[in-house]
Amino acid sequence: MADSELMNAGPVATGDPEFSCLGDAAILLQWHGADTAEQTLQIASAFRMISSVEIPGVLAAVPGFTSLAVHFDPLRLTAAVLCEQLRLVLHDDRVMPLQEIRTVRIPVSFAQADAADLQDVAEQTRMSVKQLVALFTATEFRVRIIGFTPGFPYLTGLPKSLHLPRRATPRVRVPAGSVAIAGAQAGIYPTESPGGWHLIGRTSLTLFDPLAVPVCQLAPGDRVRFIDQQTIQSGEVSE
Amino acid sequence: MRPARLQILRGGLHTSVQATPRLQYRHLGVAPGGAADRVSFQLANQLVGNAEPLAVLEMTLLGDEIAWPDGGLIAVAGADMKPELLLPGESGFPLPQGRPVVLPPGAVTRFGTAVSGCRCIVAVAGGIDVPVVLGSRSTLVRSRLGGFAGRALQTGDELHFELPSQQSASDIYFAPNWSVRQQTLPRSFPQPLRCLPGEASSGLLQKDLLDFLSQRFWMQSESDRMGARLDGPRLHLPGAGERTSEPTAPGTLQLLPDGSPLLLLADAAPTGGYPRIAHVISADLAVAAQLKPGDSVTFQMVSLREAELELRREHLVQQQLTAMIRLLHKG
Repeated sequence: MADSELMNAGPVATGDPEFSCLGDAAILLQWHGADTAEQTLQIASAFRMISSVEIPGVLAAVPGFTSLAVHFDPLRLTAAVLCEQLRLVLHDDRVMPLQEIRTVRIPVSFAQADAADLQDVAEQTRMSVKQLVALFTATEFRVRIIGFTPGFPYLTGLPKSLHLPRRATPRVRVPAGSVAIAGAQAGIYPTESPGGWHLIGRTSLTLFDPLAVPVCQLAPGDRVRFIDQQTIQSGEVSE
Repeated sequence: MRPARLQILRGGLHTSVQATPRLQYRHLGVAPGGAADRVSFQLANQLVGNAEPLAVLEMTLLGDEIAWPDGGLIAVAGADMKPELLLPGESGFPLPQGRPVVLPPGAVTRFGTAVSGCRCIVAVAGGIDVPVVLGSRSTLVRSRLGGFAGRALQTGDELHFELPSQQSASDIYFAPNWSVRQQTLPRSFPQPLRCLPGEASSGLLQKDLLDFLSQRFWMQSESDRMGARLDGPRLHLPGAGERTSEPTAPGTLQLLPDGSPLLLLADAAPTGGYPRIAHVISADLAVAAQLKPGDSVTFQMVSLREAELELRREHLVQQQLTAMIRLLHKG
């Protein structure tokens, strides 16, 4: 198959991704249209479908916000053959797409020592700290991708009133477990690393541990709810 | 098998334990990593007779001084750091490259500044013994994961390897009189790097696309295993605003906000938010990893078919080399 044919082979049906080459060792599946929760699910679903089947020569599938890369060994498989196989997998009724959507609850301490920017964010968004924490813990987030550093979840769903630009000066060291917001997203720093997001709390949950099974507590498509640790301790939450 | 040690007497600029890439954890934000110059990594392993590619030392720009108290069988490939071999009671002499070298106990190897290439691979028979983390022994320094304590090596570090039994009795220096020529060192500058178009290449201004394909770019000193910063004509992508984080691969050329390209290497994060203007083909990635600050490159667009053929051609050469090295080991 010529390059042009591969590149131009468009969507097969509505909601189907467009295929292109991401270099000579990966195929990029690009979803067009609104950047919505539905798209997140389509990508997470395609990711799980492709990961659940064994295609010889396929090394890894990696979700992005609006696309999915399938990395392969070009010595074992050509791009053209892989594209055909991927189309088959995505349309195979026997390969189950994402069905159960988990909700992961993450306990967070909003105490001053764990939330360096909480006061500042409250002032910038013209809320009291109490209102801010109430809004944040009432929000249902969704994991878009894991990236930036191992185990770092990009979470969408942050209420518009909490959208703020990144900090003018990034921190050299953000403590592990920091729950942070920037732009339209929330995130959790799984390990100590540099970072430019606003730190509004901290979880004691270990999100990423190379020696644990599973390695990572969150996956694209998961729903995430943050629970105020104080309310757990005082028994206000009963589930 | 006999346990053996190597000691870093003087640390280099950035030396780390590298092995095969960590392929299956990219969806969790874990960079693939592994030896940046895959061809030299495989060659050095074959030269010492390792059936599988095992963990090696990868030195960058300035190498280390290493003591081998228990001896060893090593091979050096990649960048030329003018290594010297010092034996007890003798004056130093050049350490031969591109061939197996038997080191007697007490030998010291001293690597200097890279005169050509950027990264020098030192393989040992038996492989460097560090724990497997997420399926690989490679060090991901940025994430403090794998390799030797998740970090670059420092003066005073002691690493272990298992000396294969046929090597345990050797107490004399020996190297065969044949060697394999280094294949990944840039031979002339600018070094052409062949690439496939990225999704953003069509958005470049026509003049800038021509600049990208005709002008020279220079490797900047702020380059590391994550990426090579390139200086040259500034490229403009009209309408490029804040973008979402999307997948990348080693070889991806991202366009930074200041208009300069960043060539992603082994330790780059699996996703990124900068526009992707092109992707260096797999067959040219090893030579790209050997470019050092100040070296110049040009980019040339090729078809997917050419990229596939080039990789197959390179693979055939590797297979022939493997067969020849096996024969030479027996002879």
